[in-house]
Amino acid sequence: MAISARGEKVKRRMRTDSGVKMSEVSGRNTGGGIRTGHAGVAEWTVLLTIYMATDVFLSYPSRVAQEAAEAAWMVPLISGAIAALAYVAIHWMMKGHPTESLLDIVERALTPVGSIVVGLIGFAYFVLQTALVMREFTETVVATVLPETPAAVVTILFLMIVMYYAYKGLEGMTRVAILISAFLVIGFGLLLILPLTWFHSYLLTPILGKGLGAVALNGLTNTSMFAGVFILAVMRSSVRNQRHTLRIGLISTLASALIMSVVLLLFVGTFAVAVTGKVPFPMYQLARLIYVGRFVQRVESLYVFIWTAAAIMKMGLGLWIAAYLYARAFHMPTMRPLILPMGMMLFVLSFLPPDFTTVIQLSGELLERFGWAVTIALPVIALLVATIVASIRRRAHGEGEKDDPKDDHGFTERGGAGAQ
Amino acid sequence: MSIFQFLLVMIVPAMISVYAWNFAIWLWRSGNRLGGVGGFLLTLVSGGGSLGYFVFKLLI
Repeated sequence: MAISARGEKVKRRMRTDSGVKMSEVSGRNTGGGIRTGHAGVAEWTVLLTIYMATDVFLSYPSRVAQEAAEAAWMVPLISGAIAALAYVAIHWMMKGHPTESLLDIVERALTPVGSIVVGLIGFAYFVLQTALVMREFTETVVATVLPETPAAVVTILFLMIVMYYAYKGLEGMTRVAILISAFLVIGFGLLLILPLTWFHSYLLTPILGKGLGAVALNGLTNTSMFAGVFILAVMRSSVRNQRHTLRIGLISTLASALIMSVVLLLFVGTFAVAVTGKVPFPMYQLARLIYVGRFVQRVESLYVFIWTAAAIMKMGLGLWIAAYLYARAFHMPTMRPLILPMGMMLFVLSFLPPDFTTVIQLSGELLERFGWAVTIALPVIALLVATIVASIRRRAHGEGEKDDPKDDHGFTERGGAGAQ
Repeated sequence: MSIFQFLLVMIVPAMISVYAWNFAIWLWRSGNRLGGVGGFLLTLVSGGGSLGYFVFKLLI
């Protein structure tokens, strides 16, 4: 009897360690039958902050500095504030459904077709974004530290680590993020402090750059950088302590906005607006400027480790959430088998643009300009429509269902939960 | 280009396509028709797309 009980305990623990069956142990389903496991508040906050703030290593600072000139540092703050407000609205609309995700609520109100549409739009966005980020990081590595290596080799190496990272599941990803976060914070802090000798505050004037209108417009369109809002709305049920989901959304959004703002402030204050468009890898250039005596110089080689770690976490979460959305949209019982084909899809998509210039153009003119429609507007509108439909149904069905204490939005029947 | 070069480039996408196809068949046979359709669609897009891309790159 004791041996049997111990064997069962070990079996349950092994399932937990694999990172997939955690919710089976805890007895809570995390959306559409897919077992994703759970992550704590700190883990989720760190992973989402890294996911959103990693764009500072790419061409994002250069693009924003070109668009908003000296006031570029205000753009992420405005975008972050809008994204945070959107998350507050999402949180408010999902408040009555603590164990359900965005897709569960949409499916219940708008039939499974609604969740398939929302899931596939999200999947397409994250696949495209991850593919472009992968190509951008590959080109950056090839142009800066490995000029003799073919781009395909760098991408394949990146992809292998990214697929392994995504394969470890939500719990693995969040744990790695929180373990590495200390090194990232220290390294990133040093990277921002050490080149301060080149910083000139007069380069930040006129303070409003190209004007308040340009800054506000850029702030509005750049909300696409805060895709964490969408991810958290989809993965809300996987947060271990449901009371703190609002805290995760707000802290991760505002922290990443602050990081982006500080980077832009230093970037414009160091290089001046006139040349920002000609600096394709701003953080790398900042790292190259570091010269603290004879023995502390050329530290960009250390910076590459920080940059690669952050890139892998960003691409890993991008691939994982794309696989999750696809599996959830089609009611698949598991998502792991999708990671390999999707990794191959990422490889092909990342090499479709002929050169680095096209990649930057696509990132700036497609994803940054219209990405907010998926990352911010889609969850808000989908939840709003779901709430209105539920309200209409509640009125149509009379007072009986209104008294359900578990559901203040009027959802009373669980439909189309899919593969369970 | 030799036939061996062609096979070398094709082998990984072909194997991943077979894997995705088998996953779709497993879903279909286990009664999850919607999942099966999703699996076949993914095989078509990822497998077909990547095989087409590599063939195009090799021939051009």
